[in-house]
Amino acid sequence: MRDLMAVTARPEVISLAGGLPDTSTFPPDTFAAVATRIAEESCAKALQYGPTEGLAETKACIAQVMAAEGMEVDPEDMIVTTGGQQVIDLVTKTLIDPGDVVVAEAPTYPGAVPVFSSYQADVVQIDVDEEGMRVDLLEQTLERLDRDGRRPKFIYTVPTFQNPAGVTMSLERRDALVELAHRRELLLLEDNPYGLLRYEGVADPPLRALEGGVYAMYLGTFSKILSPGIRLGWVVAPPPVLEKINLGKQAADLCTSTLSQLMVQAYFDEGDWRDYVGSLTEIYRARRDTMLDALAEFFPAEAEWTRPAGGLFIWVTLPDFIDTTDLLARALRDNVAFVPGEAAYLDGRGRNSMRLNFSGSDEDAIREGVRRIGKVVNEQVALYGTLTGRPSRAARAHAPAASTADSAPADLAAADPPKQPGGRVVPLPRRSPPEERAGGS
Amino acid sequence: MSRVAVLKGGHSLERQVSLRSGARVEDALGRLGHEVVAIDVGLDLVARLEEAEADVAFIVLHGPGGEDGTVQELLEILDVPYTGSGVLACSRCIDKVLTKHLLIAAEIPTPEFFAFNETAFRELGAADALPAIEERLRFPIVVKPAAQGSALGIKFARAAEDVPAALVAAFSYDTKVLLERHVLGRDLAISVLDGPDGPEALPIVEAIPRNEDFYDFEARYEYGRTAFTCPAELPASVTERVQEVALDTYRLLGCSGFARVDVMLEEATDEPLVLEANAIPGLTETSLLPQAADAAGIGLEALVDRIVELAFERASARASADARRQPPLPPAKSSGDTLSRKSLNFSTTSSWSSTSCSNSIADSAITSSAAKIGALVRTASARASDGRESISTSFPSRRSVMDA
Repeated sequence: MRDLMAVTARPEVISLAGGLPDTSTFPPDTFAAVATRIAEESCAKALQYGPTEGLAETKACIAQVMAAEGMEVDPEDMIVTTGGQQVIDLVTKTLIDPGDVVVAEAPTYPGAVPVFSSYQADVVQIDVDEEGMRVDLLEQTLERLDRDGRRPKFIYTVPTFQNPAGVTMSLERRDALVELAHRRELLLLEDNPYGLLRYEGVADPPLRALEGGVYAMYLGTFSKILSPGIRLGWVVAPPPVLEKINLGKQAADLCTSTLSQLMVQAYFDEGDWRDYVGSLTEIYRARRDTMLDALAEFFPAEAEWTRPAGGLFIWVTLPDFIDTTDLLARALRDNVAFVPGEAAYLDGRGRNSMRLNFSGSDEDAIREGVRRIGKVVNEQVALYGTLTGRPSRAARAHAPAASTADSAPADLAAADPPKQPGGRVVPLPRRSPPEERAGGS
Repeated sequence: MSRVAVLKGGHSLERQVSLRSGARVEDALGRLGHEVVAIDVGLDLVARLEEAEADVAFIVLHGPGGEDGTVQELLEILDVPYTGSGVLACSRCIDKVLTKHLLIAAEIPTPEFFAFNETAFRELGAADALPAIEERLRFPIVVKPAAQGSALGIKFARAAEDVPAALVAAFSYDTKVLLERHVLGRDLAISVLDGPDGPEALPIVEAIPRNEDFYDFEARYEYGRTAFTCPAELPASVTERVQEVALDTYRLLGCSGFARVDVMLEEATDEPLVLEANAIPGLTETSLLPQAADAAGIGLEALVDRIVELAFERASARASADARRQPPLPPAKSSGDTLSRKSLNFSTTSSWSSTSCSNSIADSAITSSAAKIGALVRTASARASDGRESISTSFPSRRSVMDA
């Protein structure tokens, strides 16, 4: 699959695969002003090494960002990192010995999979539904692990606008997860790159705000609210863990780019950083709506997808006879790409799902890209119907996948029930009615 | 020392493997003292090739476009000698269905199979024939696209209900797919390398899955999930028989320079069954051809050197054959045919999946009278090169062909 992903980089390919923010609307004159300010005020400092934990002035900016999401943080509890990805790497490096258990969501952030794998973690994935991680299933899993005398080193979660499923953890689940972490004395790693990119509704508090930072580690990043090119993220963690992370950070790269850190500081001094986030939010909301509309128009009735209230991704689940890795190979011939669902699992599930990104392409490209994927999916649904002698489902899907044959004669459906889909683990909401979906645009 | 254009990358799904192979070849060529021009093939390929003024093109492209005769055809038109097999052999190797028909005609054992294109299912109700096929082949059945190089799209159907999804997957890669009897046995790869005394089979590489599930095809291509041993531990007589079958296949398909033949040694019968031939096997650090060559005492540099040498030899052999024949101008009609065929080919090279018309004509001639296969292969390749010759005679300026 990795080889397939390499082909998606061709310029003629409409890529709904990456998690790229749109950097094209960042004002060049702001960039110039930032650069000039650094040149005039802190040239030598910008060109020098910095402290491993990060510059105090950058930490002050981070505190502002966290305050915007209702979190108070002591700069002492924070390390500035080379992007959020480094946090996942450092936390895993710090806490995991080969064979140790990490709990992640199912599906989980595809970029975390190689990190966990490279430290030989035993990743246990907990299903996600429309309210985020199933904390009840987590509890059962932990009990099962208890019986084997095992306990996870930490629980990795993207509670808000989850990557890749696009769902957001409900307040009830957040409370339950925090309570569980306290009761079981388990560390949480809350990955929150998109929390400020909200297109509707009201935010629930981050786990870190609910929990207070005893067991909750927090991962933040400037990648989605400013720029991924500056490679700037941060981690907030309890002091004993933070000390270890600091050692790991020294070993990895001594310190985060001083130039990037000063760019953030200068940028925060130039104007209100929330203005740009606001403009991105407007752009992405329209793109999300375009994608949802295109899905409703071009995807067959057998498909289901999530309706994210923010973030960058929609998760689509297709009939279980479609393997999205093979589908990607076919779609690439039509110059369109997505992330096959199996990238979000460590156990081979997710084969009939895909992640679609709506932040990195403009509305025309999104519509055209979804149209092309939909065409290929429809072809495959029709071919499967021909092969099995069962027509594709014409009606909208109201019922779970187990009723795939509901338009076929009743006796046929009874005689030959479709097998349980192995890959579908996000029993997410069915398609919402068009009028509802169009709302907000 | 020569100027060598290394053709790599491209649009194929095996782009990554190709780039890795290409980098290794470039290094080796550099160490051998050649001047290297690396070309990531794309829309500007013809321009890049003309600009490169290379003495020879080293092709490390995999899959449709690079391995199916398309790029080779282009190099023929540009009169640039190239490594590996010619147009005809490439188009035979890339098409597993064609390969298997040829094998059967030549009485080289290959697992029983049935092949279909999408039209058969969409318009001719071929799905109704599936139960009969399943009964003939018995489960598990291997379902694969006709023209994909690596393991992409290859599925195991363990029972009847797996077959439709496996077909849908295979049709993601090609409009033609085959259902093949699964052979339980040892998974062998035999690389063949041309030499002064004709093609030689290199030591056999055996792929041994690390886990117990012998149906897990993908494992073979995933790092660490399959162990490779070379030379495979086989009785001398079996080794000899397997290598002989590989050489027969190589010659039957008309390969030149080098190729890799994949064989299953069936456990029940100890018979080697040919699965497919790869006209351009990978040359990465974990690829099988370099492993086999290494086991024969041929390092990567020596291997690359030999492959380049063979390309020159083939080009000069053909040039002298052409000179000996002193061909008159071809008859007007056939030259006209050739022209239209060539222009057609050319206009469709942007679509990498297009198969050269010339080869399908030659190939249908072969399959139609399969008995005298060897003779016909020779006739066909002679005809193909005649065609090429007539091109250059009818078009003194190659440029004009390009612009057409």
